[in-house]
Amino acid sequence: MSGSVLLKQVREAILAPPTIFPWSDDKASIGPGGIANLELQQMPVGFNLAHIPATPHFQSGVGQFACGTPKSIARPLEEEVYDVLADAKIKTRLIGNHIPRDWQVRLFGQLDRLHDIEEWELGDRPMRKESYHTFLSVILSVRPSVRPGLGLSHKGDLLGTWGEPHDRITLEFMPSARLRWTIASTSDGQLVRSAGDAPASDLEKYLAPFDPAHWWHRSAER
Amino acid sequence: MGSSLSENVQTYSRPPITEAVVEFRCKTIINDGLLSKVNKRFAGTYPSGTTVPVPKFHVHVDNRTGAATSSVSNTNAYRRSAHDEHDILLINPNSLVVAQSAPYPGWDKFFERVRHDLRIWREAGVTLELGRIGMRYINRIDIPDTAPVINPADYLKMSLAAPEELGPTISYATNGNFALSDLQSNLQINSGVFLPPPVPGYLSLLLDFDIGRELEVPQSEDDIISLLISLRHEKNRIFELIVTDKARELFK
Repeated sequence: MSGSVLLKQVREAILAPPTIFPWSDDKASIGPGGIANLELQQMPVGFNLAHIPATPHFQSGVGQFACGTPKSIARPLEEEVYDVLADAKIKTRLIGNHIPRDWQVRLFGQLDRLHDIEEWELGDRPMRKESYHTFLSVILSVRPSVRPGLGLSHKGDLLGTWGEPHDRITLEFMPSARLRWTIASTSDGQLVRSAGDAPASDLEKYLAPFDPAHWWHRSAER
Repeated sequence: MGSSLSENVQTYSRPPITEAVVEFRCKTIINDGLLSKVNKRFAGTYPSGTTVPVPKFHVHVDNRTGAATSSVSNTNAYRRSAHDEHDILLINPNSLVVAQSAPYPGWDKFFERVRHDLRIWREAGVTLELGRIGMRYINRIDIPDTAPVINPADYLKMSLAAPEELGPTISYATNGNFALSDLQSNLQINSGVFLPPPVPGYLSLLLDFDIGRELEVPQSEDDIISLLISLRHEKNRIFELIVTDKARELFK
């Protein structure tokens, strides 16, 4: 038993708010690739270095240059978009063994289209990185076989939609592993809407009355 | 010189490598003009890119009065990428870093990139003496969280040894430094538990190799290639020594 990992304690540790995903710590994902951060400039190359010890041989500036630009420096929108997309794609690749390859390709295409700034209106903002981290953690928990339609809120939070117009759920993936959901369903011929807001880790609990599997997997008939 | 050699290397269908990196580090700094030229030379291979400001801190102390003044200026580094962040290149004032994110495409493809990028770097005019050639492979082994307790020692032969009285651990991290005298190189291994786990429903173990040479660093392309092949062989040999059959089952 010595040195063994007791998973109950690990689960409790990981489900403790505010994070359920390792890279949801804002300080640890400043730039493209989320590689290192400014407080940890000595970090070596690594896409998930919040969890990987530094090694002196890879200290020399590698993490520093890979981590992008300090947030305090004003940057052109194009650079912000590059930064956000790079971060999202690398985070996705890191858990790529758990997401079908064809979905990854589609997902990257969706993210690129959402960030086509030539189509943007004044005031549109790039996706918030922390929002995407929440999205990934939910996808890994729910593992939907139906791929969602994606959008961006005015704050830069990712929106995911499953279902048909008369029976649809929209999730807004917010930083700090929180979710907001809106459900549009039909009852006695009337369109009924409901909404809620909760930690992402409690999603299944709060959605249980709605039988969410029929959105994620289109398996259950209603 | 062949890159594959098709030696007796164990291959896996789902390699646990989350990141592979080769770094060529110069003994001195590349000037801004040349670095910008290098960046342009890579634009075809790596179409996406961004400039990363690197602050330089200068401190001047007057020998006579002891008065000190300081100033800050910026120089640039460059980060380039291709294929949706699968291929990444860091063009730094003192180094070139070729990085590969997951999924790992295999040594042959990665090595082809490394050779190509090294050649372009040099053809662009970087002829400074190399002070270190290094390689880093970060592995993450995802273990399904189906038992109440998981013993990392069942998966890695490099883990935590602790008195029984302490009971199960929540997490740990180990770091070992080893001399590879035959290669005049140094190896650093990190292993431990990712906490929190990156994938819900799994416990993830880290196995991270940082291997490199700083003594009598090869300078010619053939010698560099030869060293990289040797480092990779050694890294693979040690990987196989550390992982158990139970771990192999997870990614073969």
